[in-house]
Amino acid sequence: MENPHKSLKAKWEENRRPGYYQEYENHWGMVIDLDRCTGCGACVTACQAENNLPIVGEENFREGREMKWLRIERYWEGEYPDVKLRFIPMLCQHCDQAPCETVCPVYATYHNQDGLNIQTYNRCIGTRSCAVYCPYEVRYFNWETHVWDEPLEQQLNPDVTVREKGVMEKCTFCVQRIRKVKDRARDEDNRPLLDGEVQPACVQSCPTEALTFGDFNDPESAVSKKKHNDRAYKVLEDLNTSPSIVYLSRVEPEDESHG
Amino acid sequence: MSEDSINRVKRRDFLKLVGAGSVGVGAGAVVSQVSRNPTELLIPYPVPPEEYMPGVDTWYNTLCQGCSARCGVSVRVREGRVKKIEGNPSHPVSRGGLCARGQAGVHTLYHPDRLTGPMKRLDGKLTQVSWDLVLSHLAHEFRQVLATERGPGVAIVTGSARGHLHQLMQEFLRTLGSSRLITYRIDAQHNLHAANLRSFGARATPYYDIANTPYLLSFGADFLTGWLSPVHYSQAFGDMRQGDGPRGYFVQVEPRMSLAAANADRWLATRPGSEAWLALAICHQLLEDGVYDGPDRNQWVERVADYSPARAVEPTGLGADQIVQLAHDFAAGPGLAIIGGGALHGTNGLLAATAVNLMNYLVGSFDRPGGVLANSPPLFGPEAAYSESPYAGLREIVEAARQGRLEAVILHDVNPLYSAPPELGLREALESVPLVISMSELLDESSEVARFVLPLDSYLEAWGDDSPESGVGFPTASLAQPVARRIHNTKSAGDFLIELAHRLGDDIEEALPWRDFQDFLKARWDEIYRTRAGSLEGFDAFWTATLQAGVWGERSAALGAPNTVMIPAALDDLGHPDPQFSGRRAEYPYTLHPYLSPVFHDGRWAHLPWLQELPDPISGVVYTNWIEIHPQTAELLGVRTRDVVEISSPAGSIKLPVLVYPAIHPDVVAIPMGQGHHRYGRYASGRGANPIEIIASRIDEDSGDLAWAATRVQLKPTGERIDFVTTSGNPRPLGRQILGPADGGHG
Repeated sequence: MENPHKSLKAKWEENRRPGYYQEYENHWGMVIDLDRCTGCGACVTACQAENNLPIVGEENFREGREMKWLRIERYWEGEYPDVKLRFIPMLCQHCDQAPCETVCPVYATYHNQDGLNIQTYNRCIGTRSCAVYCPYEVRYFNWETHVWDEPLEQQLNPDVTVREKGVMEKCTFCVQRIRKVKDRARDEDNRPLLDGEVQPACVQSCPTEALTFGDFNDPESAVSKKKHNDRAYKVLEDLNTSPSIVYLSRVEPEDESHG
Repeated sequence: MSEDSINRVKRRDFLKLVGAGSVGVGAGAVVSQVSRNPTELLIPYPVPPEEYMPGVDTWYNTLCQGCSARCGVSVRVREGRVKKIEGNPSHPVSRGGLCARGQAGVHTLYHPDRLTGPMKRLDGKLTQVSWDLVLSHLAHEFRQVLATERGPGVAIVTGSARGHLHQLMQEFLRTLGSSRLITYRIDAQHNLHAANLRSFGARATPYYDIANTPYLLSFGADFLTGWLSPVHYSQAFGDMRQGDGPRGYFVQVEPRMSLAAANADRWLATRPGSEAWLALAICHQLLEDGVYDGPDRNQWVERVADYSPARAVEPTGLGADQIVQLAHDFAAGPGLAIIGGGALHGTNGLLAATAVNLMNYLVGSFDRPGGVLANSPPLFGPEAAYSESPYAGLREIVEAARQGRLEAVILHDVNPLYSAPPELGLREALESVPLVISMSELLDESSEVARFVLPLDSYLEAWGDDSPESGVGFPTASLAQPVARRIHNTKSAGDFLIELAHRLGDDIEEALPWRDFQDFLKARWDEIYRTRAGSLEGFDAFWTATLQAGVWGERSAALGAPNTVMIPAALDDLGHPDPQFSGRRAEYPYTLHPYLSPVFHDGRWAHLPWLQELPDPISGVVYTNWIEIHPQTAELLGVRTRDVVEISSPAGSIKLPVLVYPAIHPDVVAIPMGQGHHRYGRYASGRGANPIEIIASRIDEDSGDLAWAATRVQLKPTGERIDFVTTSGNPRPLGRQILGPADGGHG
């Protein structure tokens, strides 16, 4: 029998070919319109509710050990009175050429056929190399096995694994929701998915519809169309990570005509 | 733009889903069997209920209770347990979206510190007793109250009762001969309602068509998090920015940059309390420019004659040219002006709100898309919001208690010993009332003065309904239903009042003959069915369909001709636009600007751990609050971020760590409300300080409402430091390409 480690590596290498999933059914991606985003944080709590993110406590926050797969970054520009505050939701960019994937010694993180950057919890040995390599700093390590004060654990989502100490985790684009919709479509005469049918928790919750999720393989999808907006850019694009999240920058109107 | 995606359908076509004169059936997942028996057994079931299927989600539609907007939500339940709350796509208030508070609402059900059963104070200590004992004791005491002096000695203060629960409370009090039903929330927008009543005789909050406005001028209204209907208006904001029409320009005027101001195209820092001046000066300029030529023009010219932009320079701190430019832009838009927050809660709040109405009126923004649209009054629910100030009600309670005229007070889902200024004297007043009953989900500051502490159902366990106060432009009403079996020995307020009435017997029982609150709701909805929705196949079909959809609405109902002529006397007798403050400037140099926390709002859900762990949208701070001061002020005082200062007003003092804040008027210090609970469960107790403790009990004399933005303070460094946690890394972009290709030069 072939060495299982070798075959794992071989498989991984095959899947490391950039853009290979474009030959398959879906390339999931997101468009975030910063001109709609208000920084309110509804997506952050929606993600916490959906994905069994632990309540870590104040001390863990102090140590920088919070577990928020999606966070709002805020940046100040200028000085009083012409001071501006800008928000940007930051989550795993599901990079096509993800630095975290190449560095994992056990192939716990890899690209799947849907274009998702996948984290395999029970393969992860906790070297944290991926978190170091990630330029977006969106990977979170379980420094302890978190517990929920009873009966808060009754809320936990049965579709999502509860992670334990020593394991890296991050945004999955709510892969459980993608699976659920795909299963339903398959049961319904194997029909194709509708655009907008899959909605990660953050997208579902957003009060301003700043987030759009969809399939970049489908040229007619909302995300594919928005991608061509003049305001479109990818964060830290020059690092050549090829993210699957497209941002639309905030519009800064000329102030000349306005008081 | 892909108009055919589900995304757009769910948001845009909700009006089509809620058909004319018929029941709206939701596009979201709903279930066939919706009524639940609250006494069901724990799993495993010998015979499981019909909708219980292991591994299969059941979705129930109900109403969120995180604020007074009452968004429609769909709740995911699996194996009898609540898993997730999402916006109900076919509900006209939330339209599928939901804020962080709404998401965190699951934990109101599973909070570890919830009260598990009724308690009675014995020898100063709260002791668990049975409901039967509570009801017989209370029936006995109420009978005594009635025997001595039937009537006015009973009051109910509620923080959340709306819809028919409010009616039931009124009914209950009426049978006892009392009319003292007070809805108290510090965030109530009474001045807004009062101004609309004065200006247009309208007993309905108008619909502000933010989505379609070309120019939005907001006076302190943080409509993205804490004004009327945050989710609904957030969505409107998104559409204003990047909807189908041209992008609207948005200016926010307020002394401290709120979340709305951070999202505005332009933020203007004005002196606190000067919004009335600014609005009047803009009106003056509009009239001078001849923007308005209606038959009543001269009346308005006369009324705003004294408020030229030149004279507004001193009070507002803006340049005359800036004010003239604002007026020009507002006229050119044509603009929509809104008011909220501190601007609405100064001593001149009613005047400011009325002046803002006049601005809209003068540019013809009433009854025009992108302007102020007439709304249908709520189908049912509290009428009082339009005529009585909630704070005046609290003051009356204090007065009555002082004179010994109060025998019993029921506090329902309200925590006035936290959310009303201590200077009001409510604690002493309540301590002198013989019988205080507190109905709440967990022990809070106000339970300390209660003889009976009665555990309330979470809203996920209770029946209810609502007709949205801020409205959606057509008559609509929603039902709230229990989505999970009760997990503790709790009751809903409605059930409790009906049971108490039954124990009291006689004419009181006759006046409240219903079996329970659900029974009462059905009786009331039967009236709606008969008068408005008769085309359906019987009441049961109507009831079930409304439960399934979570909402019922009549799209085609005529609103009647809206009164679009502003009443000329609206601006009369409203005093001077100069704001008054408690505390002399010489002694108290800074104006205190308390604001509703974007996360906790007024603090009623501060006990929820997900909210404590949600970084504040602006500061990134978790688990506490802080005082925001201008960098200049910090330098003057010699303090840095995290240094603790003592903040003193004529009403008291608190201590908080400093956050040096680059976007606040130098004369102003700001503190978010919502934290500073002494007792509110393990996640909220002992975190930060409550700014309401140092707010003077001062009112807007014109409306009787609490002027919570009218207190001056002094700051004294204490030498201590509190190392609060912020999740923000470096707060400047440093030229990294994060906010877009063009941001490189700003860092």
